[in-house]
Amino acid sequence: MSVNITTETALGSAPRPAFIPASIGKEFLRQQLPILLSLITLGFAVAWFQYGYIPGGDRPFPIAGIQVPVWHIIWIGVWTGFTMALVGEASGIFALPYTISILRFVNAHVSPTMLVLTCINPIGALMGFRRSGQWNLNLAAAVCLGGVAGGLIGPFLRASVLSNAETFRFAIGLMLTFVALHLSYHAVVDYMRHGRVLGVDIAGKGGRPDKISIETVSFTFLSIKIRWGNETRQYSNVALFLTGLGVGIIASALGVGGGFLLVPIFAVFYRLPLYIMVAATIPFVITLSFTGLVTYSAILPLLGGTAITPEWSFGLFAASGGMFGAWCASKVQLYVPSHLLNLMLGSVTAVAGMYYVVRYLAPMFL
Amino acid sequence: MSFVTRVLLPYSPFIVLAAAATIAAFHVNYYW
Repeated sequence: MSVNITTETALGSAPRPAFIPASIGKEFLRQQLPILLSLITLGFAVAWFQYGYIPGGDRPFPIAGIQVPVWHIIWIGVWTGFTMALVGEASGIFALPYTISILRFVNAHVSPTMLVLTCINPIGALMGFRRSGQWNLNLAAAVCLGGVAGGLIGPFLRASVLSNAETFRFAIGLMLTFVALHLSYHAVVDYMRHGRVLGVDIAGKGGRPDKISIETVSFTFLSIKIRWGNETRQYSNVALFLTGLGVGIIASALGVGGGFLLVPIFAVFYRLPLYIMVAATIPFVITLSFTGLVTYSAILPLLGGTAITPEWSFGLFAASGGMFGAWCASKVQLYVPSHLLNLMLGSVTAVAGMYYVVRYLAPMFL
Repeated sequence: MSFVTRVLLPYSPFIVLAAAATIAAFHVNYYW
């Protein structure tokens, strides 16, 4: 039943902060609060100019066709942004099913509205993780370049290779479900073997308990070597590029964010801890989201598709909360034990996988 | 270590998820 027995056995007696550093309050007031307030104000302004009134719990959002209080929309951003940024992803996997099933926002405008949220929300995580030192642009470079290339190729494969998209989604859903089981199993095994391992323990090795340092030991065209704490890892830049490319193609062809595919791949095949991985995955989801936005608004219309308008005010309210939640996650992540983070990742991946599986199988039984 | 770093922060994902579930239940109860 005791909780604090094992960290020292796993990583030696690293210094650990007994309290939250005061600089976080300053960071919030100077950086996050102004952004949070501007996004909320923008949401109100957009609603007023579009509709002449503020939709909410009493009057429905015209495009979404739902009644929901504004604070609830901001809260959706906060909790989805927080839980998803902890595992290095944008908030879509929780926010989309929640908005559809609980809020009953069921028309086609839900996808572009969620795109507004998932484009803006990981920026909060990016800013926060940068301050915590979970930041290495060399590690992110190849995978992000692959993501951009894949994001631009993907839409053109929509019509040909992915013409049978539902079956393809089902296959991905099954794969994700197995990966989720694998991740959860490993989380339990790792906990039994190493006990409670915290990010602040890794950070403590560098002398600053609230700040991790991910150093680039060497960076060439073909490979990258990074070091954190006592660990050194070497990866092929070509493999990282191809991983980004593959995820980018699949994600943009299906019209989804790529984090839910990339993070499990990094966890399973690259064996990167979540504390370190966010340095690459958060920049990746942001690049892919923006590529998706360009694709969605510029390339798809050229291919004969029509752009669907988002419910802007809804998206902006959610994004304000999403950015704040993701920023909070970046400040909290080092204090969450790695086995709990991996369990969270397992659950998030399972939600994504089951969503596709159920979506494919449900019509057969209904 | 304080209560915050020993309990509150490590289990914060689950606390947040529990809060989300509670609010969702209230929403369903009120608006459906």
